[in-house]
Amino acid sequence: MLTNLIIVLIIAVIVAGAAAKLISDRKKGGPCSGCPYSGLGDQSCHGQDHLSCDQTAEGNQ
Amino acid sequence: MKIALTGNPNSGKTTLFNAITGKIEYVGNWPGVTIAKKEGDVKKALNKGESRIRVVDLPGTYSLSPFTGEESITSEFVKNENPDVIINIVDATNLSRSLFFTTQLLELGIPVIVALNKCDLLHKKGIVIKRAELAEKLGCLVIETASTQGHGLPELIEQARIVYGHQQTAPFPGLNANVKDHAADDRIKHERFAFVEQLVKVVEMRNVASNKQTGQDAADRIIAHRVLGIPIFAAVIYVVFSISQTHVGPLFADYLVGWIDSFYEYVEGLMGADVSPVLSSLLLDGIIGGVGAVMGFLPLIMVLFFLLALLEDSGYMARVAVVMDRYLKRVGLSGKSIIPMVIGTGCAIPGVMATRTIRDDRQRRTTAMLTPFMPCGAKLPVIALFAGVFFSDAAWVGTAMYFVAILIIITGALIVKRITNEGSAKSYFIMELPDYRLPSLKRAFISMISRAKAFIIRAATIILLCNAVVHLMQTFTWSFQVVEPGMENTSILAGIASPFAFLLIPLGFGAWQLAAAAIAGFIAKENVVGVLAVVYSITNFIDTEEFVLLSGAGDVAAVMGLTSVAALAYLMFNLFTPPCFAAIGAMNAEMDSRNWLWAGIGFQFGVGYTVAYFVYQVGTLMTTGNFGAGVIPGLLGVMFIAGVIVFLIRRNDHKSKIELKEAV
Repeated sequence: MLTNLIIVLIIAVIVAGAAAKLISDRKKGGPCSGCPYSGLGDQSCHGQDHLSCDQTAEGNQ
Repeated sequence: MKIALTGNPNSGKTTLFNAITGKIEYVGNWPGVTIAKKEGDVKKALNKGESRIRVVDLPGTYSLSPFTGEESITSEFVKNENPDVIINIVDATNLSRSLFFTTQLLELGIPVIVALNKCDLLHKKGIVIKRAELAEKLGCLVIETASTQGHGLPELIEQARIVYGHQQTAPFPGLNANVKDHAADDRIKHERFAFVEQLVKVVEMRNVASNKQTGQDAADRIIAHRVLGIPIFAAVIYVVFSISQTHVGPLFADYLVGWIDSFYEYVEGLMGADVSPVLSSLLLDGIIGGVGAVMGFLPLIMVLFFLLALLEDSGYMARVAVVMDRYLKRVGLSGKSIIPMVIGTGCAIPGVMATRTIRDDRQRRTTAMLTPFMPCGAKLPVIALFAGVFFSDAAWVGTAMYFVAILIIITGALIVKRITNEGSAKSYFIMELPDYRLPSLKRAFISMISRAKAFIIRAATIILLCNAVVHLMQTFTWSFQVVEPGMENTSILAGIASPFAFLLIPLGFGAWQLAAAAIAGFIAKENVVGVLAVVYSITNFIDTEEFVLLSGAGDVAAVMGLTSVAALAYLMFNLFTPPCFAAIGAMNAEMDSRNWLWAGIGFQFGVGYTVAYFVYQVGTLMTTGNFGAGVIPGLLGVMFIAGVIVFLIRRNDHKSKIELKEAV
């Protein structure tokens, strides 16, 4: 019983860690954890923030 | 203090940025790699002062009058965000081209330092630049740098600290001109060009006539040849895949897979026999096995990334862009469309983002729609898995996938051109070909490590979570009872995937396990490998001996229920259906149109289905003499897809005729 509880805790920690990393990267502006090019920092410009991030809409016209 | 790094495309800004900040931003030996600003602090070893120095790496531009989105980022930043110092990186081997932009920067009043970059190449090219005279004429500091070797960087940062707060004077009186007045603007441009031309005549001496054909030019006549360039590219990619997936990659993979297996056994031993089988299986098969199966491909991917980085650094990929540009322009794409597609071979997201350099809406949206067809890094484990298990690590599989992707892109562009029925905006792809150079092993290594890190992060996050969820869904029935052995069809996962599997029967892979893996691939493409490992309880895909131990080499197909032809169809279905959700998000942003987005996703599904159908049915006919299962329903499906395309083309033809009549 105790062993099962420990295993549950280990799995919960692993899954929570992975989820926390995903959420944290998402909050920093990354569309996808670990994407090597799109940047993990808050200065990255992509996804839904594209037009409001760095450039003007007419830049793409 | 905030420093802006500006300069022409491919002048070495990001390399210098990485060198002074210690960051590892993506660099490429071609113009247009940076499409958004990046920030970082000058590293301690270079910053002698006490205050922090922030550096902003900006996209390359030739002028402060922006033509494209990423050029406007640079223009907006230096004009409106008040950097304290501007470091203008000038390609010393191409002074005349670079100084036009320099003269514009000098008029902003912000202290400017010219970093005369690539100075290490001056001697080789027989160029002498009178640095002191150039500094005097421009009225700013000029410092020789070679960012690839770190030369001149301490002095550059030190001088930036010294000029901070000073007022810059312009050598050229253009600031007060009313830029809205086109005549005045043109006059100033001409004067500016004349000033630069005169300046270069004084400060630069070239011992080699620029119109003399060099060895590089001779090589380009073959490598960038419109016909020869294609088979050369095929041969290069074949060699890259051959080394990474047949020879060197598996050597390292064997070690890694051995460690993963040892870890699996160690954890299994720790848990003992008393642990609940559900928990034990979730940890061992769902998490360790699923993630381990994906991680097993890491060495193959790393070798591939290393070789691709060497190719990029050598200047070869820029030639590939030139070769492909001819074909893409003929089918209505922009000359610039090739850049997103080449970037997309690393990751579809930045590839799609790079389409913002294309000004014409239709061309930009079409490129954003077609770029994800290029096999990205996340798809490589899937290719490696199927090439390894079904085709004896044949390097032709990976090579063929790139060329099928190119064919799909060309065909897709033609279809979109016919549907939209719009005349293509005339576009030019002006790219200064970088010199061939001996690629840097260090840069390739850094690039490889950076991409490997990304791969590991994805495996430890999104792949891990997906595998855990898939394993739970496979373990329980809809009434939350543990699935009985042999009753896997009653699981939640089977319940969800089975209806999709039914649609995939004409493609040769109607098993719910394969459908589940394909669906999970839309979250992240590596998931296909992870989920296959979970649903078939295989922890080690690399060592095909495991299959042999299980049921004999001849029964490999039976493990997944696939023939080699069906496996190829399944591989192509996963590669050529829509990309992961994150890339679809990037498509949404760059297309800026819901209609285009949904049409794009529909088109990608249609292409993936059609390609897989023909590969399976024609392949089965060729290998067995009969069509595969579901040939008629599949044909109806393909005809439906074709019908939709024909309908759209005819509808727009009709619309155009009506508009023409009204105009007449």
